[in-house]
Amino acid sequence: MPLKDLLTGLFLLLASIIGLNQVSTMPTPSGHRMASGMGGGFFPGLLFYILLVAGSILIIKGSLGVRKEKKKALESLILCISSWGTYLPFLFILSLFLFLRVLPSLGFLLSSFLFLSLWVTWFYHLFKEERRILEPYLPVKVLLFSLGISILFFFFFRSVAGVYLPSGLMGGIW
Amino acid sequence: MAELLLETLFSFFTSPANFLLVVLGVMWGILFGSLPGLNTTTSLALLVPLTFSFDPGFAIVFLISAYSSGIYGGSLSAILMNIPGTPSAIATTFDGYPMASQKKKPGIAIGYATISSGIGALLGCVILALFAPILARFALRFSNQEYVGLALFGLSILAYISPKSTFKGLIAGIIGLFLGTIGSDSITGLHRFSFGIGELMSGIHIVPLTVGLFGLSEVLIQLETKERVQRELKRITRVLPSLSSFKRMWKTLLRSSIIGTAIGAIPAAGSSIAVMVAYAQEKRASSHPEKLGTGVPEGIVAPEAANNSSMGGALIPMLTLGIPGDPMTAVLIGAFMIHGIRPGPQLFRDHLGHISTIYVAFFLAILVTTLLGLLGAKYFAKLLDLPRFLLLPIIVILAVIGSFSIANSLFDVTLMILFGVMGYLMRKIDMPQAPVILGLILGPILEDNFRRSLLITRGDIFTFFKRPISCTLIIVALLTLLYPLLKKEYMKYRARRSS
Repeated sequence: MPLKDLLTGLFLLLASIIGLNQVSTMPTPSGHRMASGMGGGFFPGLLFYILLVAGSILIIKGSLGVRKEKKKALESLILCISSWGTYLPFLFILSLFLFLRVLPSLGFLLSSFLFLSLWVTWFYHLFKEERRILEPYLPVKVLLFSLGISILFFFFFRSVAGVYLPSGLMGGIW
Repeated sequence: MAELLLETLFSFFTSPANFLLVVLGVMWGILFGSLPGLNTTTSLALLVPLTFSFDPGFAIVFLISAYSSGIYGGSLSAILMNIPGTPSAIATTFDGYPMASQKKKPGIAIGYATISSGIGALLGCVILALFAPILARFALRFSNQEYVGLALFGLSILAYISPKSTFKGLIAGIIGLFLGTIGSDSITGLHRFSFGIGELMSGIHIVPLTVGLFGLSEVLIQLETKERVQRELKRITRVLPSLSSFKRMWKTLLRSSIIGTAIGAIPAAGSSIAVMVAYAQEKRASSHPEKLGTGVPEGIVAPEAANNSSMGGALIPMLTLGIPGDPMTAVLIGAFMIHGIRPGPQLFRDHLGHISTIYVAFFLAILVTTLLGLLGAKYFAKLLDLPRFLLLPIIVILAVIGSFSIANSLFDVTLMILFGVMGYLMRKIDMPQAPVILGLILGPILEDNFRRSLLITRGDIFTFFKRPISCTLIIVALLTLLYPLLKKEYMKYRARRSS
């Protein structure tokens, strides 16, 4: 297996060096090659090749390295993946995309009020040890807080910062 | 220059808006700096959108005030909860928390931190005002080739920004450089990596990137850490320490402030290193080193003077060369650029008014921070207990508004969310986010100047080595980049020899 890695790494390194020459130079009518740094493709190409070179060096280094280190790296990778508290952040991202979907039609004020209430309630149940500030929990408190913050942001950004947030259904009123 | 500074200072007292912005900026900085988990970089990223409609002068005042007070904010949670609010407040926990908990003097500990922060930051501000114009005058001679060297030197810092892995820092930097290539090519006008998406043709804006990488990713990380760190807030009574105790520590103050400013001025070294060096020096110079760590005033004064003075130092390369030395100044450069202010030597030649506003705002923000710190310590301490179920949704809404307000487009909000996920994944694998910002800022400078140099010299690649300054900068960049590797190999060699 290490031999295969070594060969792959060497091949990638060789390919990237030849490729780098191709990207960084261009043919001239006289048959010579000159630096093509003036072209817009040079820089992204260079970055790509740096990654390729770094990748191939890593593969070569890995194939020459000690197996124990590989095992350690694998263990840390598994630990890292399994420690991803998994669904909560992704559920939150989904809710954020949902917020973006409703934002244009409902407007900032209404949709931020709805989603702030949802998020505050959700997090209130999530962070059990921090509840005392809203104790006893009352949905009315959450709704009032969310409404207050939404209105505050809406008017602050509109009048002070000059940002016109989507007005949606409330457009006629505000 | 002195006249202009006085004129600007006077204008601050005649314009209540300017002064109000200093106070608000300072409060914003202290709040975000003191909340564990959030830091000054996040606070600046979230603050940028609020300044969009501001006149550049007002925006500078607001941003500089938040920047100057953020590091001080970190000391509050370090003293009261033993949790450093910012990484640079870590050494403050060594003596600040014991003084607050074992000696039952939380107010006095905050007093020492506040006054030493103020004195340290003022010294940093004076050094900035003295040295920045000299460096800027020298940098005015730079042409395209020198800027290539400078950008390469700036990028070589990537090796140091990542505390755990140099390689991860470099990869993050390359991601940033790649993001910088998206959009219209500045020389040919051709679109690169825009995939026909109209919004991408003008490139990736720094606001969705910073807000996503620092703000949203923080929310996602916090969602995973359900358990709250046990926080026991101390009751604050007296805040002012005696004058005689400060008189005894003037050497500590001066030494730590100079260390802080000098290390802060070195790109990538930053305030976190400055505090550790200052604390170590204090231990070395102290007549009773064994007492450090048990709650002695010197243990608070040394790190606080060092980390606050490092801010003035960090502004020197940022303002004169346009090179961000740490994540905070990287975001600050991006914020300035949004307002049409491009840090660099030209700023000192063409926009001296902005420079004077920066100096005066920085100076006043330091005074206001000290005053607010002494008078409002009790109230800031209460804010430390702000529950996450209220704070995180507010951050999310601010992040959404901030990204939306760049071009009144939901596309930027989508980008912010994607960068938020990227930042979250980067944090999961211990990859630093700051190099991405550094890459996005320095990438276009490097590419544009590199290509212009080649155009002017008809493709002569050796032009960068023919000019002494650019050649020196490139060599220094290479040495900076290779130093960790060489050091590692040297240590291995020494270990082999000794065994």
